[in-house]
Amino acid sequence: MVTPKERVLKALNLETPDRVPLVPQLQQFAARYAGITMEEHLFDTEKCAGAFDVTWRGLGGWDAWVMAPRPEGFVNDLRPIPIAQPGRELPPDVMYQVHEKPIMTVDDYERILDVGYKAFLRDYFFRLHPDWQSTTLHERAVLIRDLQKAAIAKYEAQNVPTLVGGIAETPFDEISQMRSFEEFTFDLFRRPDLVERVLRVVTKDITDTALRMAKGAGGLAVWIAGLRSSCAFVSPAQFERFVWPSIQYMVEHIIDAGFYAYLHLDQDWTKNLPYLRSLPRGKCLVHFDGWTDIFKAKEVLRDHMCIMGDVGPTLLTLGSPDEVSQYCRKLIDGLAPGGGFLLGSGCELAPDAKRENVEAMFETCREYGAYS
Amino acid sequence: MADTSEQLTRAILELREEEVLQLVRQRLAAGEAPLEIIAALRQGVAEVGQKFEKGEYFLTELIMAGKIFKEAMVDLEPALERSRQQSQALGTVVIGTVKGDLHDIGKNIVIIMLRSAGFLVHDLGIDVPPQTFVNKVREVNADLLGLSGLLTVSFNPMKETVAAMHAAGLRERCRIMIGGGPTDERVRAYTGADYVGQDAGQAVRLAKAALGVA
Repeated sequence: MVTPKERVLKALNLETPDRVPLVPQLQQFAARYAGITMEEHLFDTEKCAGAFDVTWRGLGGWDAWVMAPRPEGFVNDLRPIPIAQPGRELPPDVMYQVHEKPIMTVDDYERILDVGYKAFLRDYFFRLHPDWQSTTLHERAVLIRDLQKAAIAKYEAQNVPTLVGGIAETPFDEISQMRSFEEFTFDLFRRPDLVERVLRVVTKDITDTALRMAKGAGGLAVWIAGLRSSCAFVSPAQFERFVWPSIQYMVEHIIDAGFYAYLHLDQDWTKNLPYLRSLPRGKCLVHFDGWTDIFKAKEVLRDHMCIMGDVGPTLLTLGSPDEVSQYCRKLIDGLAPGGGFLLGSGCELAPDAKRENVEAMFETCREYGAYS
Repeated sequence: MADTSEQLTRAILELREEEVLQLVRQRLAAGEAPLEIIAALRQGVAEVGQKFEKGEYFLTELIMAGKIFKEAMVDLEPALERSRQQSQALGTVVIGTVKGDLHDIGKNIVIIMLRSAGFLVHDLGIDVPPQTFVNKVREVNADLLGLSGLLTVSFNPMKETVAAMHAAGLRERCRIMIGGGPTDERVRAYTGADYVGQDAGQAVRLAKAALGVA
């Protein structure tokens, strides 16, 4: 009997398991499935764990968790960007959202160079959360680590792995959100040298922090999220200058620390695919959200990098079970041959996906995804 | 004058911010008609848009061109008022991110492109309820309504806004375009909108086509 963990590891290592592993990035959908509010799902540790368990049993399980099944709200609090959360800035039963505003200033670039990014963030968090006590910042990080550790261990005991223990964004994405997309874009043209120097400093500190979290919490991989760092946003010249060196550094250090590098790439990375081919073979996982041509990705990254995706939110929300099943078959036909494929959702599984569509996705993977 | 117009168009096309602003000030000081200067700037932004659609320019370049245009307009608008010239808008657009969604990057890029193409745009911001759209469309007698959303939860508010436009009797005289991350033809059909735009360039083309000013 092949365990989910064996199945997932084979795919990550570019081998062929017994069937295509099913790895949905299932987070807020559990709230809808189990009938708790989004606020409860994000901040009530017990109810959140209960909702994940109900969803797991109801859908017959899957092969790996992407994020540890823990309350996301506390993690959102430690992201250096303003996030409107249900029960706080938003009504209790809606999805949390990034509410981007320019909180970081141009002067902060120099400050980061002076004191380092970690020290800068310690002050910066009080701009985001003026009511916080300085002593609790560390406690918050420890709480998240412990919640993740417990959630990962609980499923690991059933041989179900969790991919992500440590989380980072590309420094380009992170600073862009802190400055706001438009202001950061102007910075790229008006003060490119300064931005480049700052990103170098930020890269190192972001990597250290993510690795510390991963070492403490567990998980197979460290997550690197990129969205506005793709050529859907930036020119190839800007990508090579402001984005790619960070990704190379992060991937190298994540692998050296014994983890897989999990590139969670939203938006269209089709033009960037050749760069990914130069990362170490069999040590990375790339997850697309439906914008990147995943079939083209298979052509470029075949036998080099495990690919995951990409059943998208619009299909799962407005499509029919037949349409979902058809798309999953197309994915399996195109991406499963030769191994190195995980069938998953495009980004997070849509919280308001129709239940029957999620069931169709899971059934198709289990039945049609067999390699024999 | 053709030479300096060309120079200005080229400067914005190549995203040389300082040079654009300097040229605009020089030409204003030389007594040139603001509308001619604006035409040269618009031409530059339009060429940036074309390069974007051909895949030669990228979003950051589109945004920077829009920013330079906006900055130049800070000098040009008072001159326009003094000269009593009127810029003839291609049409009036009301736009916003629908109720329940707080994202506005895509919407703001579309606004930059619509404005620099010559549309008069009223931006209602984010998390906009259906009735607010309806009221604004009626108030400014809009030709086109743009509804933006990044999340799947925006689909129902888009549909409700289209229904509210029907109920208000405005549906016949105002076209509706949707756009944003997860929107596609399926979502357009679901919401009852007329058009769906995949990016800012397409949004401008659709807006021009909708108003017959292409």
